[in-house]
Order: sequence, then C-alpha cells, then structure tokens
Amino acid sequence: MSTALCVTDLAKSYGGKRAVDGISFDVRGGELYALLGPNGAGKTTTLRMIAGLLNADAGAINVFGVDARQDPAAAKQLIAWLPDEPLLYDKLTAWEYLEFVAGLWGVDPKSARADAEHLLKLLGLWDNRNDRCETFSRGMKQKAVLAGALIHHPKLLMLDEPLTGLDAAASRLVKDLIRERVAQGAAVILTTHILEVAERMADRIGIIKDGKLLTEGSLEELRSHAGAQGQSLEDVFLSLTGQPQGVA
Amino acid sequence: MSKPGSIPWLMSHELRLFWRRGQGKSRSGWLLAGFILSVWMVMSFFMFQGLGPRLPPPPYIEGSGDGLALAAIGVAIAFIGSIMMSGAVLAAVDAIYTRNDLDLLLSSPLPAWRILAVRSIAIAINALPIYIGLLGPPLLWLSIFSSPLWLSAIIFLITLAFAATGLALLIVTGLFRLIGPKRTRVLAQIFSAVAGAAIFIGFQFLNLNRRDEDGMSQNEVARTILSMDLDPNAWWQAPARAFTGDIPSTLAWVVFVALLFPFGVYVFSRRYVSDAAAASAMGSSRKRVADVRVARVRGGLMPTIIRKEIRLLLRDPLLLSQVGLQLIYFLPLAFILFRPGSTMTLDEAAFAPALTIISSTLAASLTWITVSAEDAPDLLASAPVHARLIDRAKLLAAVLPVWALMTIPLIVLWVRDPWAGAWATSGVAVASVCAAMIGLWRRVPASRRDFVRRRAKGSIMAGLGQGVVTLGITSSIALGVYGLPWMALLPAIVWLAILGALYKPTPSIAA
Repeated sequence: MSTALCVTDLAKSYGGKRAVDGISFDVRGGELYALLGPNGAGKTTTLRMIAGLLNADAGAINVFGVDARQDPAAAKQLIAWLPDEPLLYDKLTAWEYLEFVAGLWGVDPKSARADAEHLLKLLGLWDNRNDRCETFSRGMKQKAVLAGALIHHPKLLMLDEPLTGLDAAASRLVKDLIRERVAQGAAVILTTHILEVAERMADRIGIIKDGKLLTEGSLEELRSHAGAQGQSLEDVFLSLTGQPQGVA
Repeated sequence: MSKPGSIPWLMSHELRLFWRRGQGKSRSGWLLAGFILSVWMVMSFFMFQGLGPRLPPPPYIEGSGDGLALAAIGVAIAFIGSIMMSGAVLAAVDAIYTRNDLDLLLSSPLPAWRILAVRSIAIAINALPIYIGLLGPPLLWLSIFSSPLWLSAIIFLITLAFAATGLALLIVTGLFRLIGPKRTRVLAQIFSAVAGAAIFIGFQFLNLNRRDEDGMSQNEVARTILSMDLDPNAWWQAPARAFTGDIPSTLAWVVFVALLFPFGVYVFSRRYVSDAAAASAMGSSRKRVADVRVARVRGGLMPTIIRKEIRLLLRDPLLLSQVGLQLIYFLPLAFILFRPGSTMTLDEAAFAPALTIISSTLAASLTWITVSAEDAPDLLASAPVHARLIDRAKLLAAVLPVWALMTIPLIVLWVRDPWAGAWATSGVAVASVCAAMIGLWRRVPASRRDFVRRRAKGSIMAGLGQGVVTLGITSSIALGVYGLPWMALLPAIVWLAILGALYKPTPSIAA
C-alpha cells in the first residue's frame, strides 16, 4: 500500500504553549488510522494543520506525494475534512450545500449530481434534500456534512468525532461508509472519544498527549507496549496516558 | 446576598451576563465610549449652563406654542420608543426561537413566570444605556440650570423602555397566535427592522401627500405647522407632558406602564412554553410530501460562490430588511427623482453624490455579510482554491446587488441628464468597489446575527476607512458633476492614499 499521508516533526505553539510538539506518523492508502488522546492533547490542531486550516510552525506534511505546506491547493484537492462541529449554511438546502461543495472542489456537475443523489439516498436525507439545513437535527446536519466530505471522492478523509449526535442506525451507516471508502483504497484518519469504535474499526492507532505522539501501532502492538495483554483499548489508553482508571 | 432562585438573584445573574458581554468588548472600545461620554458631558454642561436659565420652566401646558413644542417632543418620544420596541421584539423572538440559556433556566424548578419576568426586565434595561448616555447629560444639566422638573424626563425614559418591552411582548405573542411560528419569526424580524424607521417614513409620506403640483417650500411647511393650533392638554400629548415634568401626566404614565409591562410579561410567559415548543417543532412538524424536484448541479467556482452568497442573503429576511433599512432613509430622494413632470427642488447633479453614498453604504454592509460573517470559514479554507479567488467572488457577490439596485435610478438620471448620469455611474462603481475592498481587507470574523444586533459593519478601522473614503469619493463626484473635474482630483489623491494605507493582503491560511 502506498503512503497516503506522511507527517514529520509537526509542531504548533499558541502563545508559548506547545499544542503539537514534533509529531510524526504516516497513514497508508486503504488504512483507517485512529488518532486518540485526552481533551486538549492536540488531535484537532494536528488535523487542522493537515487540512491546511492552520499554519504549522515546523515540520512537513506530505499527502500522496504532494508537499501540503508548499502546495496547499493540490493537497486540499485530495483531502476531505469533517470537523466535530458541522460546517453548514443554515439557509441552504442539503442539495444546494452539496452543489456548493462540489463547486469548491471543481467536481464535474454531471457526476456531482449523480453522487449527490447517491449519497443523500444512502444517508437517508433524500426526502429532505430540498429542506433548509436550519430545520435539520444535529444528526441530520452531521450526515449532510459527511455527504459534502464524500462528494469529491477524497483520497484522504479526516474525520473529527464523526459519530457525535448520530443515533444508532445513523452511526452504523456512517461506520459502514467509512469502511467502504477504506476498502476502496482511501486513507482515513479518525479521532473519537468512543474507544470501542476505534478498537473495532482502526487498523492502527496513534495515541497523543500534550502534543506528543506517545505510541502507535495495531491494538496488539499497543497492548504489548502497555504491558496489558488481553485488555480493552480503553484500559490500554488510560494506562498509556496515565489517567485514572475508574472510581477507586 | 439574595436568596438563590429569587427575583433579585435572577436579576443579578442577568446583570452579570450583561456586564460580562460588555467586558468582551475591546479596551479601546471602552476607552473611546468613556471619552465620548465625558466630552458630551462637558459640552452639554457649557451648552445648558447658558441655555437652561433662559428656557421657560416646564411643564409646557399653556398656549399653542407649547402645544407645538410638546408635539415635537412627542415625535421624538415615538421615535425613541419605536427603536426600543424594535430591539425588544427581536429579544422576545430570540427568547422563543433560540432560547439559549432559557432552556437551562426553565429546566430548573423555578416558576417560569419569574424567569421570564426577569428576562423581560433585562430586555428593557438593555435598551437604556444608549439613550441615558445621549440624553442623560443634557437632562441632568437642565434639571440643575433650568428646573428640577426635567428629572422626570429621565424617569420617563426608563419607563418608556419598560412600556416598549411590554408592548413588544404582546405583539410577539399576538403574532404567534395569529399567524403561527414560522411567519411570526420573519414578520417580527422585519417589523423590528422597520419599526425605528416607521416614524421617518410616515413623515415623508405625509410630506409628499401634502404637496401640491408645485410642491411646498420649507418656509410654507413651517408656516403651516405653526398655524396648527395644537392643544397641549390633548390626551395624545400626555407622554410629552410627562417628559417635561407635568406631575399628573407623569403619574398617569407611570401607572400606565406599571400595568402594561406586567400584563405583557404575564401574557408572554403564559404562552411561552407552548410557543417555544411550537417554534422548536417548526422544522420537524412539516408535512412530508413526495418531493420529486431534483435540481441540476451547476459548476464553476465563481458562479458557485456568488450563487451561494445571494441565496443566503435572499433567504434571510431579517438581514435583508436590515440592509434595506439603509435604503429607506434615501427614499425621499427617490420620490423626487421619479415624480413625473415635477419641477425638482434638487437639480439632477445632486443625485450623483447621493447615489455614490448609498452604493458605498450598501456595499459595505453586503461585504460584511459575505466576507466577515461567513458561516463556514473552515469549509472554504479546506477547499483546494486560493483564498484570493474566494475573496474575489465574495466581493463580486457584494457589489452585484448594489449595481442591480442602482441600475434604474442611473438609467433615469442618464435620460434626464447624461452628464450627471455619467458621474453618478462612476461614483456608484468606484464607491461600491472601494467600500467592498476595505471590508475585505479589514475583515473581522463575526456571526450574521451581529449585523442585526449591533448593526455591525466590521472593525473600527474598516468603518472609519469606509466612511472617509466614501466622503472623498463623494467629494470627487460632486466636484466633477458640478463642472470642476480638475478640482475632483484633490480629494481623489487623498482617498486613494487612504485606500492604499488600508490595504492588507488576504491571509492564505490561518496563523
């Protein structure tokens, strides 16, 4: 499998505080990489730098051979970014939103129409396609944004807490969609606080704390690293991040 | 300390939030406000130290001259009251539709009426600072140098805020009953936008209707008004009498407000829970019908962004009415320009600078909406497009509606006077583009709601820059259209230099 994303010594500070402190990792095509960490660990900052939303202070970001810091537009063409808070226009309909995103990514209008129809039907929003997003529930908004992220067939999909606000059925649907994209060869980076999701879905897991990558690897590799054979990802995570494990 | 859950306790919570919202403003903003208030305090001291003793002591309840003075005060009160009510209507709509912290407060075991009563008081208090700041110093000095009866004006202003809030609560609740949740929101928002201008429009309407074919001169209008024998003791003069210290009228007014405000709160809080539930179910309760419409997808980056901006603007009646409000104040000009066969009191040339100012004002507002108030900046930043290209599209989206609006007045002007038409066209084009560019360079991210709440147009630098550059362009256009094109170069040099100084490159990425 080719390297989809290669992050080297990435760093970012805010007012003297190191939010991301020399992180390096890579993700291969057809791989789902879960980036885990406690609140404020630097996950979102890392993803925002990769998505080209933040300038890194140092380090390199390479997306499918494109230097994202040198040629951000070319890198962005390959990336989809799904933030934890849905980026939607309340006054646009779901269909118009997808049309807008397709226009931004320069998707051919004919194929965009077919893809929009497919995605809206798949995500159960087809009957709401002409409704304005302001009338949507949180879950519907999340699905509309996911459709927007997928409409331009990204090769690298970055999902920040994609299951927030989704009901069980929608959550299953989104997980299936992510798996499908991975099976088609896309690379997916996922952040989540629901560790069972990472445990079940991720090929590899990276754990960061205080802006530093503590460890990465498959679940088995993490278990052996933490010396916690047979334990759940939650136990491994808490042990590696040095956080309290339940009520004493 | 007040008992938790009591009205004073809730009130202190509201006031703390009010104070913290104020603290959110920049230090320079506070300093500027303090400086302006101090200057106004000193200025009004010198003004009313001389003027106060010469003023006949209030109340003005005798003679036709007093009737006229009271009527003028009545108009000012109506204007202030309508603006206060416009803000209160918005706040009441917000309480029903957005709710914010009200959901938290109402989920507590405290009675709903208490929470909503305190919120209503807070709405009324919110309306006061600007008027107390503006009218407080003169009234204070008047009460010292003229008559202590002027203090009743301060009492009147405070109670006026409560009256406006009570009325606003009744209007919103009434609208909800009459036309349902969806239309209420839109109508109340439009109402709030035009309420402040209603008095102005009303007077223009009267003014135009009273004109005979040849029109009335200003002196004739003044003579007509003076000849009206207005009774100072008429019932409709009661608020103005209360303002000027007539004690029975003040007492009657206070009693009226003491009844109106609690009644408004009572009606509003009684209906609040069901109205808020209806409002929150607005989206989901829509009847699902098999919708077979499938629009085509249209491509192209520029058209895509322009289409999106125009759609967002057209679908936000509140925003649209706020932008349109700026046009209302220029309506008299349009009446003069379009009145067929009239001998105009203004010559055609005067329209060139006027249209220049309107274009600049509108373009500044629209740029703020399209650029600063972008709903999904991260989405645009993550798109594989250079930020400059997006900015260009947004700038175009801001100036295109202005040009579309100006087309008809410009055509009329071209037909009547091509020279004035040519200068006006240049003014409209240059002023709108310059205002848009300054808005673009000096953007400050904000929410669209800020435009409605604070009539915000961006940073202080952007507002000042747009004002000064517009003034410069208008001067150039005025000099040009009145036959002094070479003189027009002088202000042109100044505004071009200011424009250059305001330039700031588009950030390609966040720091």
